[in-house]
Amino acid sequence: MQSKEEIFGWVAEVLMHEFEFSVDELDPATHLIDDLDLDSIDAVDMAVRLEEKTGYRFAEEELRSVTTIQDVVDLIDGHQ
Amino acid sequence: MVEPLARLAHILVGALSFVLFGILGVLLTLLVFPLLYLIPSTRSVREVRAQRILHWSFRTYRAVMTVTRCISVEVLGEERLRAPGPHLVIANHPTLLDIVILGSLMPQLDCIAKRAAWSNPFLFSVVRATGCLPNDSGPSLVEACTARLQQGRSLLIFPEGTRSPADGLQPFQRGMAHVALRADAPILPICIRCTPPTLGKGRRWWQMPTQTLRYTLEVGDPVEATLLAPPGGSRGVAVRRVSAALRDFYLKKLHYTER
Repeated sequence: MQSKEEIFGWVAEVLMHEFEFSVDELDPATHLIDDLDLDSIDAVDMAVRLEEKTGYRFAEEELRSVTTIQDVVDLIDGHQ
Repeated sequence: MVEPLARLAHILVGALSFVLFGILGVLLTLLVFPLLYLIPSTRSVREVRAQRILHWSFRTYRAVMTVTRCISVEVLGEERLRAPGPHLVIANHPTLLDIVILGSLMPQLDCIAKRAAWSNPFLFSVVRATGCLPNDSGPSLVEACTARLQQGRSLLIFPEGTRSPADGLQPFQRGMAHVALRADAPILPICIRCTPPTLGKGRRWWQMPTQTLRYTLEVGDPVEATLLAPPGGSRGVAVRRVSAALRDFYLKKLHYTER
């Protein structure tokens, strides 16, 4: 069982490695599209990296429903 | 007195050219493309044949528009389009006629169209017969585009995903860079200029100016996408670099400065 802080750490790590964001650009309220300019293809790439880390498989509808980093954290946390 | 008459004449010629476009469309839809389905062949062969037919239709239309002095078209570096492909052709998108002019230059060119085109009675048959790709989902569109290039078919992408604003560029959609990197096909960048600015987004065809629309197309040197991305980086980073580098290229070519 991971804490929400640990899960946030994973998500942030993936975003930093995959898209070169810096740590101060990322907090739970950060909007994936409006703030980080991710597109649907980026979201799939991010999900694949997170799947490798957490073993959790994102359904396509789930991925479409997330808007902030917190939404991604909640999704992974809800399936622990 | 002369000025309003000249304007009226020009509007009539303009209207007639749109009628011609409609007639060509209906002929292809009702007659030519249905006949194509009667010839036994694979889907890919049929689509490429339909593209060739559309190419000749666009050439005819362009010739009529040129003779009637509605447009003039100058193409610089056209020989680059005839180099062995497949190419990922990209272009800015200032006017409604861009696709007609680009289509008149290349006998085989896969295109992307809005999903709505498949339910438009005038466009349905054309997009289906020529194997246009619908733009509804990013990830699956990237896969479909990559597959076409890997089959050896050249593909046209307007990286802005819609028409360019007057004197500027929309942000680039990064799907184009994804396709370029995955298919490892050379990018052929085409710069389209049209003076006076017309037929852009938010303009109607009858608002066109009374003078000839002068198109200049400049076909650039082929670009290898992999050379624009830093080696060893993630895919997300590579795609951002390729997309930004190409947008900068267009801004420079078109002498636009980012507001």
